[in-house]
Amino acid sequence: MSILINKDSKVLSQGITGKLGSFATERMVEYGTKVVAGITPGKGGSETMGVPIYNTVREAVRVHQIDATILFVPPAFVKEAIFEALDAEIKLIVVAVERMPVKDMMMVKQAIKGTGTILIGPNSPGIISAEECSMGYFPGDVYRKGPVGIVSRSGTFSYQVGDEITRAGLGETSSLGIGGDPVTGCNFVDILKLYEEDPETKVITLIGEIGRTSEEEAAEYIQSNVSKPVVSIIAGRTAPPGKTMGHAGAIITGGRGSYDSKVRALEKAGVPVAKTPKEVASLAREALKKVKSRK
Amino acid sequence: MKLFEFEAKGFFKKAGIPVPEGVVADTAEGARKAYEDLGGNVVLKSQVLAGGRGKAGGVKFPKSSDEAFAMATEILNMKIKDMPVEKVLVERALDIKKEFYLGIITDPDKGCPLLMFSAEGGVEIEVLAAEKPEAIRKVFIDPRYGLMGYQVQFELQQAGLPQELQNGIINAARRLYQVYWDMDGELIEINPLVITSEGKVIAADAKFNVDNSAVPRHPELPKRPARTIEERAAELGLSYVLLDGNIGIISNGAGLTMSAMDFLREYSSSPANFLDLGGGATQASAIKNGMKIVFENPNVTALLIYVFAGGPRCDVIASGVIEALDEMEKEKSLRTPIVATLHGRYKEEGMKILSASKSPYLYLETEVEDAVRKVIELGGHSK
Repeated sequence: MSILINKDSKVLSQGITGKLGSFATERMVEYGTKVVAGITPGKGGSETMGVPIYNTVREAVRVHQIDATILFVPPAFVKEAIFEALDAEIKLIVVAVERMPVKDMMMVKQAIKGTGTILIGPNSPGIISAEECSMGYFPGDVYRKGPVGIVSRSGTFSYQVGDEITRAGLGETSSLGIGGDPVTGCNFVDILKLYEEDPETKVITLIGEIGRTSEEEAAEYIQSNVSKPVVSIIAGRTAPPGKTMGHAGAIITGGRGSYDSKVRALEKAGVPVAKTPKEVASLAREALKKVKSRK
Repeated sequence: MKLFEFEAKGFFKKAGIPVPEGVVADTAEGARKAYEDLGGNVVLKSQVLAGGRGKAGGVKFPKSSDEAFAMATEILNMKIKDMPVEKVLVERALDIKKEFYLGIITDPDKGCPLLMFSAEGGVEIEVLAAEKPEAIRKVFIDPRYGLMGYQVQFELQQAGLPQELQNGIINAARRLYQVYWDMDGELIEINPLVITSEGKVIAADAKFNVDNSAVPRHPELPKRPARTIEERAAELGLSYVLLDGNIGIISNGAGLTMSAMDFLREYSSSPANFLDLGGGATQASAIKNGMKIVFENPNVTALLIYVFAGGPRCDVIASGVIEALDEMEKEKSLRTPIVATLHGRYKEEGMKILSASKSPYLYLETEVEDAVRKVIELGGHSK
């Protein structure tokens, strides 16, 4: 088991023939992901990597069952591509694209309310369910089936933590990046809920970073809604305030979003915060031991 | 993208937000002429993309055209928070009766625009938020429908503002929101918004940052050459932040780069910079450019290259490192040890390419902890 995607998920790739799209889709197919169709306006009727291409999402959903879509279109067109997927009632939309204008995302966020669709990203590494299905840029070799569910704001840092978790002999159900932008489709809380409900996930690893208040919100949610153990690590302990650290969302302004505030909130909710990726893996292992001894 | 006050005021004026009469000058002579053209009673304001210019002496009130010349000379030779002042705004001084704060930011947690108003103008909003949060009135805006006048009116009423002042401020708020929305604002601020003794509403100061991701769709924004090393790096697709330690860092992804900084601190060392190769890490040129940028900082005594490749490939990154090393050794400009640790896709191939290098400056480690220890051992601690 896993969250959101598994070996049977049928995936659409929007922007499949673009530079990023073809590159990432190839990785996904290599991993065993069932990419059933791709979209590139103007190239409908042709094929790439054995995947049929359509001009519009609506045409694709007429022919194929589609459970999830991943977007690789240029930043200026992301908003439209999301609306196209929403219109076709696709229930999971992953936006890997960097530099989507925040204003476009604000409009999407309002539009998506009440549709039942989950939007991951933008500026997200995507989601992977270990040894089953990958949507995004994940280095597939890192992940092995196991009891740890990972949710992260960053991409590459979550690969490092995943690597440590795998090397500690644990393995993962899924790993998901909510995205490094100031406004994102889903937040930690939405994903914590999914891991809490997933019977295979025994321990949750939350990988935060400075800026925003998503970690504080997550802490509050964990305290009253999550029965599974959660362990954590926050990047940016040593970042100076007022400077944007790569992610537009990773900035401490006016004391908001500081490392200390996040650690305080998480520890209050009973979530231990590690200082290094190795340490977070051993925290996960200890938490797992406790879960097992309880039974 | 941050705009200068005079640029922001240009956009305000176009949107119908009253601003003081003024002229921008880049020489002291220009400031003198502006003083004369405006007939005196002016203020000289340094134009700089950093806060705290008042305290730094960047705002002055000349009493004669000669004094305007002398003061402008002083201002144009100033550096405020390490930024040289290039222009001075010569502006009609206002007869201030009351000062307010009016601003709009993109609220990341609700994912919508947030308008803030305070009857305590002139104070930095961060300071106010920390010391007197109840003095800030907030309006969350549904981006589909925009700002509604009644929302502002209600908050002004709550803030105890007399009725005769409300309309002017509501008008300014509507127009400010229009500028923010139409131009993809990230933060837009009038602080202070002034009521003059004649009862006029005027934007005395202006702060306007545009969402960097949206800059390409706004040809009306000013074009200017990269000023700082951060801006030059951004033009190359790299996120760079100069820090005050001695160990250079090149990594990919914001979280991983921050974690490299945290690692150094964990071992009682400190980073000289943050450098995230970002999505560009798929090309060898990205790391080459990154190495050159990092080595521009004379404080760097050793460099840590820490990559975890998901999309990109370690072998491509490794060949970029080798190309940069070869170029620097040819120029004999390399004096700094480099410790590299590569992870993820094609890491074995990447490490193999690096280990074939004969450069005495290049060290390899398979574990990140070992790489961090090694780079600190080679680079020492900052003075």
